[in-house]
This record gives sequence, C-alpha cells and structure tokens, in this order.
Amino acid sequence: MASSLLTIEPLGDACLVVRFGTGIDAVTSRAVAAATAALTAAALPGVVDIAATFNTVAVVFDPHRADPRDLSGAILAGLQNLKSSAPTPGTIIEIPVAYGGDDGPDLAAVAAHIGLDSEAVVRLHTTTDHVVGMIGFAPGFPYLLGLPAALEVPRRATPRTSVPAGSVAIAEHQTGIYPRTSPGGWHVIGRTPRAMFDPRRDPPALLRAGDLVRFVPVTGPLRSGERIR
Amino acid sequence: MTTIEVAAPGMLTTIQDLGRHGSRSSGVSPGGAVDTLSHRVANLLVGNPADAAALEITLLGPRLVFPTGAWVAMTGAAVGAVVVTADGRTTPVPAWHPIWVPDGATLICGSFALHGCRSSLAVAGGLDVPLLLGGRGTDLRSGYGGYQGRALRAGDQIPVASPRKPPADRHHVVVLPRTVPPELTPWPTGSPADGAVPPPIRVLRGPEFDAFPTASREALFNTTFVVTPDSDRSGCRLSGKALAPPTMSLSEVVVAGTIQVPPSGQPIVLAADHPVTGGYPRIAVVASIDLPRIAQAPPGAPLSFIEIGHDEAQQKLRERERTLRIFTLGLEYLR
Repeated sequence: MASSLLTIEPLGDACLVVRFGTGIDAVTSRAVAAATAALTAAALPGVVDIAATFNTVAVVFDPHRADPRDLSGAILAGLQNLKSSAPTPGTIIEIPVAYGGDDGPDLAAVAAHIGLDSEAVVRLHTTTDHVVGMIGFAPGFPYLLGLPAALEVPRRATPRTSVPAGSVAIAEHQTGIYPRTSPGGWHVIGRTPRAMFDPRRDPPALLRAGDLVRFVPVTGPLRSGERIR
Repeated sequence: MTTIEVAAPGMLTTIQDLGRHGSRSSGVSPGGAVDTLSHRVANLLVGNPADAAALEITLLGPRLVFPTGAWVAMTGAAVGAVVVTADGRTTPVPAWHPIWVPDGATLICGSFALHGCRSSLAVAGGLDVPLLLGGRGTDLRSGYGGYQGRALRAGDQIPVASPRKPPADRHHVVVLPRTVPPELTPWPTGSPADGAVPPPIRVLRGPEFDAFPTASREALFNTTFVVTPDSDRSGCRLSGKALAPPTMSLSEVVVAGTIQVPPSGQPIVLAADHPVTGGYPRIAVVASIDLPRIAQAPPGAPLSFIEIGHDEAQQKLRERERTLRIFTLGLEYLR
C-alpha cells in the first residue's frame, strides 16, 4: 500500500486524521480498511474510537490520556507494520434484494434514463462485486463503490421524504442501503430484508468498510416488514 | 431496589453518561451528556464514578418523586430547585452540592436562569439502565439506549443501581457544604448572572479553514453569532454574517465541537448526537476546554470565536483536569 503518501492532520484537540488520498476508489478503500483493522488491533493508549471514511482513518482520543505528538508516532509505527503484511481479501457478503415493484419504485425510471430495460439494470447490479467505501449518514448505512458505469445516474431532482428501511438505492457511482426509514435522494431500485443495523449485535452494523458485497436477486415482493437475520 | 418516579418530565429530560465509544465505524454517534464537565462533577459530588448514568435536563426541569430517599447533586445550568417532603414542607436546595432527598419527598426542578441550557442531575449509585454498545445514554434519533430509547415521560420508574447510606436523620433534607471551583463549571470566568461577560469561545483551525475565502475566515472571528432555537443535542446552530463555504466532494469525519458551514453559510457547532461523518466544510473545531460553554449556550445567546493553538488548548485542558483531580480527592465523604 502507498503508506508513504499518507498524512496525519489534527481535527480539533481530540482527533487525528490519517489521510490515504483525496479520491474515491476501491484500492484506497481497501487500504483504509486494513489501516482501520491494524489501528483497532493496536489498541493505542488513550484512543477511544476509530472511524473510517473513503480515504481517511480518524483516531479519536481522550486528550486527558494521550498526547497527540506521541500518538502520531504510534500511529505511524502501527501502519509501518501493515506495509509488510499481505493484504487480506475482504469477506463477500450476499445481500438478497427484491428489485422493482413496490420494493424498487425507481427501477423503471432508472432503466428508462440509461436506455436499458429493468432486467438489464438488475443484471448489471448483481453481476459485479461492490466494495463498502464507508459507513455513515445513519448508523449502519453503507456507501458501496463499484457500480458499473452504465448504471450511473444523478440523484433524484426531489428527494423523497421517506424511504423505507432496507431500500437499496443508487446515485452517481454508488449504491446505498437505508438501515431505517429516513428521507433520501437516491433512486430506490429494490429492498432487502436483511437488518443493516442492530444495536444488540456486535458489531452493530452488518457491513464494515472494505467488505465486498454481492447483491442476489430474489423473486416476488417482500412481505411488509419482512426481516431476516 | 430503589426507583425514582417521574411525576412530570420537564421539557426534555434524558438519561445520559459520557457516551458510546468504539462503534463509530458502524456509524454510531457518541452521544452522552452534551456538557460532560457538569455531568462528571455531578457524579463526583455524590460519590459516583464520573461516567455513571445521570439525568440531562433541558431548559425546564422535571418533578421527581423519591419513594426511598437518595443523595442527589445538580450541576450545569442553575435550576431553582425545591424539595417537598412528605409532611408538605418546602425546602429550596442549591445546585453544586450533595443533597439528601428524604423518603417520600418530591424534587421539583424549576426553569433555568437565562445563562444556561442543560443541567445534570446525578443520583448516588447511578441510574441503572442497560449498557448498550458500551453506553447507557439515550440516542433519541436512533431510538435506543437510556430509558427505552426515549425522553422521560410522566409515570416512568427509573431504577437506581446501588443507593448510598442515608444520613443519620433520613427524614429531613440535608445539604452538604461543597465548594466547586469556577474552573470546574461552564462559567470559569464567573456567572453571567453576576454580570460577567464571557470571553470568546476558543477554536482550532479546521481542516478546510484555508479553503474558505479570506472574508469568511475573518468573519468567523469578527462576528457575534446568535444561537438559534432549532439547536439540539446534535448541534448548536448559529446565525450571523453568512460565511462562504467551499464545495466538498466527499463526506469526512466530524467530532463534537466541529464547526461545519452548510450552503446557507450559517455555522453549526456539532454536539454529542452528531452523525459520525459530515459533508460540509469544517472551518474550525472548538477546543475541548470550551465545549461545556457551547453546551450551555441557550437560544438567543451571543457567541464569538477566537483562535487558539494546539499547545495552549492542550495545556488549558491539563490544568482543568488537575483541578478536577484535586477537587475529587477532597470528596471522600460520600464514597
């Protein structure tokens, strides 16, 4: 990994942000995931939490217990070891999705926008692996990278005020899955019965940054409120 | 098992601790008390660990019935509180002191003086709600934690973990003398109620500071902003001279105290319930030492900012922590 390119910058006096680049791509996401795992395992003194975005890993610390200069050094040392270790392939997690109909009200519009039929959109969405770029927006909400270029559509002109929990939606080059009913501006093409977030589970989010996701089409609409664990 | 009965919940009263840590990678907000300093001091006053679960009261206090007596302490925004004992006698009780509330008495917390926003009410032994994702605090947006994942309502029965021994005379209100130094309050330079003018909030430059136009950078430090009424546990929203935010291409990590500037140009200072990532430019971050002051700024309060360096921010925090340690050492009585 290109750890020689990383920088460490402060975010206030209780957080250090390790940056692996400014762009958004699967390679950077993998590097971020590996660094997140390494820094979590390192359990550096005074560190209270670690959060990842598409290209950064944030190390949140208790300023009463850790000195940012010492911590910076410890982070660099922790990532130095990472360089020599072989990258581990992410787990592939299958997400069943009921496409179209009431579960995916925007499927037909997306198909029309890109000049394909709905079946082709489903085929394109289910035949590539997606990488979890980051978890954010709401607890357990994954931003998935790897959407085929043919499926890129801009966000909806008018966001929906309510998108049902489990909705699988696309916008620009990403797919997202809504863990709970919330407002949303992406095109909803299907819905999964899998619970994306459960505070009683460890870890509470089904997916973590760096995981590989494969969408599997299921036939027939989901029953209202249907859930599998 | 001792419980406290909620007779009236006040405006917004929730169970909070010092937050959930370790689940940001799952998108979990830290939550916890917005004013962590007042929360810690309230707990210490009644002999609890600083992170025990306690009540966070917003703007208007609750009315609480204690079937069995308990030691309590209130800190943060000054509520005018009284204890009404079973015989109907009313005793005014001060904030920042351990207070014995006798068996069958009612604690009535009034509305706040204008210079505060949130009060912490600790009960000796700590509030006994389940630990979830490493915390006992209420996450109102996600609907979990604390008391059934929601704000308190009339009729709720809050369990107390391990009540402390009552005083010799358990039938009367007892107020123990304690002196909390001003540095351990959100008003270290004196209470605005006594006419003290609070100094500007100290901030560190944010990652996108340099991407803002010069006029906006200057405006951040030359403007007196006003706290707006839509502020809540996720952020303190300000109104003032509009800043001109640069565009951000990706969401980035945010922490409590991050000052984000959305397209409206009106800054938002993030608080405990903030989402873990945000897509707005981060012009500055409030120094940890001044986070309690932001937590206590009520709607309509004026706020201004001044830049501080990293070394000074750290040093100020260390000094306060030292004061807190010395203060704690002198509080053996209720342990």
